[in-house]
Amino acid sequence: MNLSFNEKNQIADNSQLELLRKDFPTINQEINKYPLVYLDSAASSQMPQQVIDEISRYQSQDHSNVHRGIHTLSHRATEVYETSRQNICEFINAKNTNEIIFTSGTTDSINLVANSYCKPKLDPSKKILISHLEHHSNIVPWQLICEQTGASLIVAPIDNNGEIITEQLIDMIDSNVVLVAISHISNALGSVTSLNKIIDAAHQHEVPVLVDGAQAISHMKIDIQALNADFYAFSGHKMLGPTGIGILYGKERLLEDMPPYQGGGDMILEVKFTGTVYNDLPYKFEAGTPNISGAAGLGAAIDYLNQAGMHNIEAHENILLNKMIADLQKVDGVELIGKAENQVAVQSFTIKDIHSHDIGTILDHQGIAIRTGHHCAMPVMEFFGLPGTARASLSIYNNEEDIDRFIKGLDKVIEIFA
Amino acid sequence: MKKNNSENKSLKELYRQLIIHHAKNPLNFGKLSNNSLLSEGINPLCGDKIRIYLKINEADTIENLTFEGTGCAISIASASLMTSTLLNMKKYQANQYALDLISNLNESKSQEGQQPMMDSQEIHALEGVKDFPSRIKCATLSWQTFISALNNNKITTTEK
Ligand SMILES: Cc1ncc(COP(=O)(O)O)c(C=O)c1O
Repeated sequence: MNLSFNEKNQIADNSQLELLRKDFPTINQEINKYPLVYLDSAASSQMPQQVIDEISRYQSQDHSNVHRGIHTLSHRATEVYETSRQNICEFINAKNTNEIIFTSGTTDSINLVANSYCKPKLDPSKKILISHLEHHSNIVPWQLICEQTGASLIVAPIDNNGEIITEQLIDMIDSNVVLVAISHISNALGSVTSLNKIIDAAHQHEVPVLVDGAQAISHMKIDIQALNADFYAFSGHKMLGPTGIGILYGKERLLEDMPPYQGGGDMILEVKFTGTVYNDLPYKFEAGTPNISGAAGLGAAIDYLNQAGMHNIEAHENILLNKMIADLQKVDGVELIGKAENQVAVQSFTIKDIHSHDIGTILDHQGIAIRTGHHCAMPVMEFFGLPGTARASLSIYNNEEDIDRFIKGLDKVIEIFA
Repeated sequence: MKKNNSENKSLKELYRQLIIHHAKNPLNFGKLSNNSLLSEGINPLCGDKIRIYLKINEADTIENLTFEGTGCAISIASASLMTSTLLNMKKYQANQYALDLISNLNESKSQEGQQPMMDSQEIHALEGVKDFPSRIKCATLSWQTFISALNNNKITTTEK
C-alpha cells in the first residue's frame, strides 16, 4: 500500500499513519530480543529519518555561525535557522516571527518568562497562579522567583479524575496575580486543561497566561491566535525533533516590554561600556550562538507533522488511547489514574500491590518501554497518595499491535507477582 | 511472540521467589520508639523513600533495626534482608558488611577476582540485580541508609 495525499499535500486519512512507522529507525529495532514497543513518547518522542537526515545535511553542507558572517556558509546557516523560525510561526499560527523565540526547551522558555516578565513585577503583595497538575518545570521556576521577591505561589486544585477544577482556578484570579501558568496537557495524566475559559477569565482581570504546551504540541493543532495565550512554551524533542531546542511563543507587545534574560552576543545592537543597546525581537532573547542544527531538525519535524496532518494524528492517537484504556480496564488489579473527560495520548495506572518500577522492568524485558515513577510531577502523585504510577504514552508511530503487546506484557508482570 | 529463554532466566533471577516473598511479607517493618537512630534514604530516580531505625546497645551491638517506607519489590526485599542480616552484629561488623555488599552489587558480574558474595544464601538472592543496572540502586538504598544511620546522618540519596 502506498501513501495517498490530499490537495494540501497532507496524508489523506488517519488510517494511513500506520505506514509512517517505517520512517522511525529507533522504533524498528529489537530490545531484549523483542521488537520494540515504544510507549514513552511523553518523555521524549523518536525522530523520523527525515529529521535525522536534515540535521545531518545541515551539519555536512551548511554549517557556520548565524547572523555573523558575510560568507556563503554563514548565510546558509542563517537561512536554515530563520526558515525554521518561519515554519514554527506558521505551524502555531503566530502573527509574525518576532513572537517566536528559540530556547533550549520548555524549561528554558518558562525560566525566561519567570525572570524577564514576572520577576521585575513581583513584590510580597503579588501572586503567581499555577495548578496542582504541573510538571516540576512549571513549578520550580516560579518558586525560585517567589523566594527571591517575597511574592506567593498559589495553586489551583484538581479533582479525583485528575482535572483542574476550572471554576476554582478562575476564582483565584485577581489583579494581584501577575501571571497564570498552566499546562495545556498534563504529562502525568494526559488531562487537557479548559484553556479557553481560563484565558478569558484571566484576561478579564488583565492577567496574562503562560501555557506549558510541552505535551500538547505534537498531539493537536495549536492555533495560538485563536487560543489567545500570551506565552506558549514547548520542546523539540517531544514533537519528533531533537533535544536541546525549544520555543517560547510570546505576544509581541509583551515581549517588547521585557528586558533581556541573558546577555551575550547576538542579542545586542551596540555594546559600549557606558551602556548597551539591545537587539530587536526575537534576537533580544537569543544570547550567544544558538542551537542551529537543532533548529534545522525542528523545522524538519514540523514539515513531517504537517504532512502527516495534525487532525490525522489526533484521530489516530485517539483510537489507540481508547483501545488502551478499554484493554487496561480488563486487566486484573489495574487501576487507572487520571480519568479526565478530555484526555490525550497518555494513560497512567497502577497494579494492585506491584510497584511501578517492577512493572517497568518486567515490561522492558519484553521489549516494551513505558515510564514509571513520579513523572516529574510529585504533587500529582501526592494528591493520589501514590509514590508513582506506570504511564504509557502514544505518538504517531504507535499501532494497535503495540497496545496488544503491552497488555500481554502486563500478564507477565502479574504472573511473576502471583 | 517467540520466547527467549536466557532473557526470561535473568528476569527470574531478579524476581526470585525469596525476593517476592520478602517484598510481600517484609521482616522488621515499622518504627522504633525513642532512643533510636533514624536515617532517611531517597532514590530520586523513582521517588522511593526508606526510613531506617537503629538501636545500638552499650556493647556496640545492633540491638534493634527496623525500616519503613515505600518502594519496589527489590528495595523492600533488600531492606527486609538487610534488617534481618545485620541484627545482633557488632557495629563495626555491620558497617563492613553493608559496605562490602554495596560494592559487590556494583561490581559487574563478569569481573574477575570478585569477592564471593556474602555467606548467607538469602543475601545471595539480591545478586539478581546485576543484570539490571538501572535496578542496582533499588537494592543498595537500604544498606546505604543503614550506613548513614550508623554515622548519624539524617538523610542520604542514591545519587551521590
Ligand atoms: C508538561 C511538561 N512541561 C515541561 C516539560 C519540560 O520539558 P523539557 O525537559 O523539554 O524542558 C515536560 C517534559 O517532560 C512536560 O511534560
